[in-house]
Amino acid sequence: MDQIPLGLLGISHKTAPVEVREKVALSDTEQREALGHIINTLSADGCMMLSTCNRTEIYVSADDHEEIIEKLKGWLVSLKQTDLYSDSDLFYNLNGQSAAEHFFKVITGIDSQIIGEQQIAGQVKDSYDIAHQLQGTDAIINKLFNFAMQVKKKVHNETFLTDGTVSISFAGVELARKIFSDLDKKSILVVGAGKTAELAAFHFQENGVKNIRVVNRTYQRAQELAEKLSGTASPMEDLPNVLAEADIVISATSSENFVISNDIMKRVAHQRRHQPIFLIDLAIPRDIDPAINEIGGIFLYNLDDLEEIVKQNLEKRKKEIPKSMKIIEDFVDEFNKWYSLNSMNSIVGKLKKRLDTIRLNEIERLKSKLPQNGYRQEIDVLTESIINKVVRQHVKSLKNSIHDPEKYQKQVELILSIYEIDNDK
Amino acid sequence: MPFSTAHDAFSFIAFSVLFVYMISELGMQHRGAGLFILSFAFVLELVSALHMSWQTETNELLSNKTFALHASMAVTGYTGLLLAAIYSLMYIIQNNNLKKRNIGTVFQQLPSLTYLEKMSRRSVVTGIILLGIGIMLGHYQMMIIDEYQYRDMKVILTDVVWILYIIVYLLAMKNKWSGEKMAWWSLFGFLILIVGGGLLIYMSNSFHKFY
Repeated sequence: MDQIPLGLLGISHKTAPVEVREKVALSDTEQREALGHIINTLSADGCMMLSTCNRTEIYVSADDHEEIIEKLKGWLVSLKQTDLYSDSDLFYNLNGQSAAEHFFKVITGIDSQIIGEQQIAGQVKDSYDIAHQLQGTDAIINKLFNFAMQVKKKVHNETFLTDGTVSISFAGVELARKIFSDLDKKSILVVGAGKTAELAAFHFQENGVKNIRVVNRTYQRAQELAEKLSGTASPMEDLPNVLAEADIVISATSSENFVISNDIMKRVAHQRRHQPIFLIDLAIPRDIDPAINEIGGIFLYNLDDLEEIVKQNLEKRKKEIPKSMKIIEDFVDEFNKWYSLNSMNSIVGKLKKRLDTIRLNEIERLKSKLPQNGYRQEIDVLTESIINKVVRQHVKSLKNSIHDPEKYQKQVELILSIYEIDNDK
Repeated sequence: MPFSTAHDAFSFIAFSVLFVYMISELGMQHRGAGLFILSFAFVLELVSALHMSWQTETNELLSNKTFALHASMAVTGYTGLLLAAIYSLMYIIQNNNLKKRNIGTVFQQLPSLTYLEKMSRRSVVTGIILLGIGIMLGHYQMMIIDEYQYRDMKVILTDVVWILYIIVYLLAMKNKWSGEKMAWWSLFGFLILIVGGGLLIYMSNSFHKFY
C-alpha cells in the first residue's frame, strides 16, 4: 500500500524546553506567511500548522513531503533568525501514518503536558480554519482533520481520558457541581481579597455563579474585589451573619488563626436547617476549623484535598491512555483505507484509460478491413463492455486485498507492469 | 389486568418505573439519574421475561376495569415511593462520598445532591398522589362488590403507609428538613413498607388473592 504522502515537522514540550519553544513559535502572521510559502513556493498540495505554547507543528501533504520539509527548515531558520529549526534533537519528523497517529494523539490530549486537556482541540480547529481560509488544505489535510474530530469525539465519549478536573482552581467548581445542580442560582461568599481568593471566585463566576459577596479585614479591599466581581462587600465583623446566606464559601486570608470556627458553623448550619454549604479553604495556614466537616450538610475541602483530587484524576486519565490509543489506531487504519481507496480510484482510472487506448488503436488498425460505416457502433459497445468487465475484475481483486497492505501493493505493481502504466504521470 | 402473572407484574412495574421517572424529570435540566433508572427497569423486564407464562383470568374481578385501574394506580404509586427510596439511597451514597472524599467512579457517575433531593421529592409526591387514587378506587370497588373488609391487613397497611407518607412529607416541607434527613426518612419508610408487606404476604390470606 502506498505511504500516505503526509509529513510532519514539529517541536513540543516533550523535546524542547520553553525557552526554545517560544523562540520557534509562529505568530498568526508568520503562520499565514509560512503557509503561503509552503503552498506557492515549495509546491505542497496541502498544509496546516499548529503553534501553541507547548508545540509548533507543521503538517505537509505532498508526494515529495520529505524534500519539502527539508527546504522548509532552511526557510524557517531565515524567517525566525535562529538555527534551532535545523537541530534534529529538538525537532521530530514523522511521515505517513505515524504523522496521522501523532495528530490524533495531539487532538485528544494524549500528547499534551496535562493529559486529556481539551483546549488543544480548539487550537487545532483554529489552525485548520486558518489553513482552510487561505486555501492551503487539500483532500488529505481535510480528511485528516475530519478523522481527527471523529477521534476526539469518540475518545471523549467512550473513555474517561478527559474526565475529572486536573486544575486545583477548577477542582472546587467540579466539587460544587456535585453538591448543587444549578450554580447560577447559588450565592458565594469570598473571605479575603487576595489574588488566590480572586482567582477562585472568578472561576465560579465563569461557571455561572452570579451572587457574590466579599468580606475582608480591610473593607476597602473587599469593596475593590467586589466591584471587580460585580458583587457586594461586607466588613469582617458581619461574617457570622453573611455565612448563613452563602451556599459556597471560599476562604483565602493570611490569618494565623481560624477565621471560621466550629461554633460559628454549627450555628450557621442550624440556622440553614442543614441545607448544604460547600466550604473551600485555600489558605495556609488554614482559615477554617477542619472539625466543621463533621457537621451535617457541610462539606469542607482544603488545598491538600483539592490537590489529592487533581492527582487522582490525573492517574485515572493515564489509565485511559491504552483504551484511547486503540481508538486512535482504528482511525489511523481508517485513514489508511481511505487513502488506499482514493489511490485505487486513481489507478483504476489510469487502467481504464490505458485499456481504452489499446481498444481504440485496435479498432483503428482493423478499420480498413471493416465494411465502410459498418458495425462501428456495435464494435464500440462490445469492446467497451469487454474493457469494463476486465476493469471490474481488477477492482474486485484490489478491494479484496485492501486489508492486506503487502498483497495490495503487489497487485497494484502487477497491474502497472502488465499494462505498462506509469503511476507517476 | 396487568398483574395476572409474575411476567405481567414485573413488566408493568418496569413500565411504571419509567413512567414515574418521566414525570419526575419533566422540566429538569439534568438527566443525571437516567442510567440508574434504566438499568433498574431493564432488570425488572429481564425478570419478567424469565417468568413468561400464560394464565387465564378465572376471577371475574380481574377483568373489571375499575379494579384494573385501582391496581395499576396502586402499583405505580408504590413505584413512586420505591424510586424516591432509590434516589434517597443515591443521595446518601453521594453525601458520604463528598464527606469522605471518595471521588471514584461512583462519585463521578452520580448526580448532584440537590438534583437527587429534588427527584426524590418529586417521586414521593407522584407516589402519594397515584397511591391515593389507587386506594380510593380500591375502597370504591370494595363497596360496589359488597366485600368491604376493614380487617384486611394489606388494606390497612397500605392506608397507614399512605397516611404516614403524607404526614412525614408535610412535616418535612413545614420544617424545611435537610436533604440528608429526608433521604433517611424516605429510605426508612420504604423499608418498613417492604418488610411489612413481605411479612403480610406470607402471613395473611386476604381477599387480595385471586387464584
